[in-house]
Amino acid sequence: MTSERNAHTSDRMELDGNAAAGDFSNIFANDVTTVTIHCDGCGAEQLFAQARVYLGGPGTVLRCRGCDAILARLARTPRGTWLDLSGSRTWMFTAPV
Amino acid sequence: MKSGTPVTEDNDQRGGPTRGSTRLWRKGTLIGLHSQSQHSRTLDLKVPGWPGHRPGQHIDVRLTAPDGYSAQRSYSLAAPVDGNSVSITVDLVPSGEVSPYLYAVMEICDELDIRGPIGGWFVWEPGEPEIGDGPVMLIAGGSGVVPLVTMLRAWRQTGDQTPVILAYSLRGPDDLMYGRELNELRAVGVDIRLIYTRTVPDAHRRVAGRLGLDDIAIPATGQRAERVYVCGPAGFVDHATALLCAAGYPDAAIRTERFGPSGAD
Ligand SMILES: Cc1cc2nc3c(=O)[nH]c(=O)nc-3n(C[C@H](O)[C@H](O)[C@H](O)COP(=O)(O)OP(=O)(O)OC[C@H]3O[C@@H](n4cnc5c(N)ncnc54)[C@H](O)[C@@H]3O)c2cc1C
Ligand SMILES: [Zn+2]
Repeated sequence: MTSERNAHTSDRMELDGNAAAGDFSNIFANDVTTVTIHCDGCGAEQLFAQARVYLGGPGTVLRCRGCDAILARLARTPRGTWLDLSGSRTWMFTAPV
Repeated sequence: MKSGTPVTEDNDQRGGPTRGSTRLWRKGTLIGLHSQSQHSRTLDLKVPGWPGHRPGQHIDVRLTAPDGYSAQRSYSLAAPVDGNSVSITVDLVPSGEVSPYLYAVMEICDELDIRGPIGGWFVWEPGEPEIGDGPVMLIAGGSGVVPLVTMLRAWRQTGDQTPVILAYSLRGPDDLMYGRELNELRAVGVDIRLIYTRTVPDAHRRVAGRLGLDDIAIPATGQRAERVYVCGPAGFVDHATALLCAAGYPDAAIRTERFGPSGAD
């Protein structure tokens, strides 16, 4: 169903934010599934849990469910944990932090 | 931290006992095994210091090989909170890396690394004000039934009165998980609809076929569920979400969790 739109990642698994919540919640020391992310590409707002997630490559990629742009990337390397949030304008934590 | 090095519980006490402790890897020891269908089983684990969890949350499980290579997967918590015990129900993906180990190899007293509980959105706790008098609809594809059964157990344990519907899509009778428990839940008033997509057992009235609008209809005409939880393979979740939109459900009423790639469920 979604394999054409994401043909470039067809070897990876399309999941949603729930699947990446463990790794991201670890970094933010807080549940991230209820965080509202504002996409820098199309301006859409979505919960972390609603964003598309691709696991299985060198890192985890979070994509906008509206425009497919990358919202966040997380990779664990021997030198450390690399986090790129440049595709998202803001992250709104509404649950107690 | 070197990968494969388990963090001991004491390392995190500075972060506060509850919040911080959900972040670390702990040892879980296998204490019970139950067959759940022809290709799935439930694993009961004892996890010292477990902080508790809510229905719908999951854990991350990590297996580490002697050479340090490790693989990590998520599994829904298969039972409501019960002290230091947690359960997961694993459906075998024959070509998979982690599920065959959990399904067929792991034995009582074996240990693995777990982290959690994880998630705060794909959760249903009886009494949530936004849900009011309900009804609540649960839609499962294949092993996506696991967190939804946990929600139903919590519903039953607390004596909650919210009307609940479970629409459970599966290929054939061999794939049925929690069969006996679903009968019990039906007897206490849960509207359980089994949607066989390929092979229909004798005496089942619905013909084989994909989840359709009739399967998610609420008996009282024109009524909609206050909240819908959908869980299963990505293809199934997308299909169910499209049906819900066609039935007039607003995005805000729908909570979804995708377990894996598009599946036949
Ligand atoms: C939040 C969350 C909760 C989950 N809860 C459960 C649960 O309660 N019970 C459960 O059994 N699983 C659950 N899963 C799925 C689980 O995490 C694994 O993906 C699954 O056990 C397969 O892992 P594997 O290592 O055996 O297969 P992999 O080695 O990851 O994959 C092997 C092959 O099988 C395909 N594949 C992977 N996963 C699936 C799948 N689920 N169905 C069909 N094909 C697949 C892959 O595309 C690949 O081609 C959950 C996933 C998420 C994200
Ligand atoms: Zn976008």
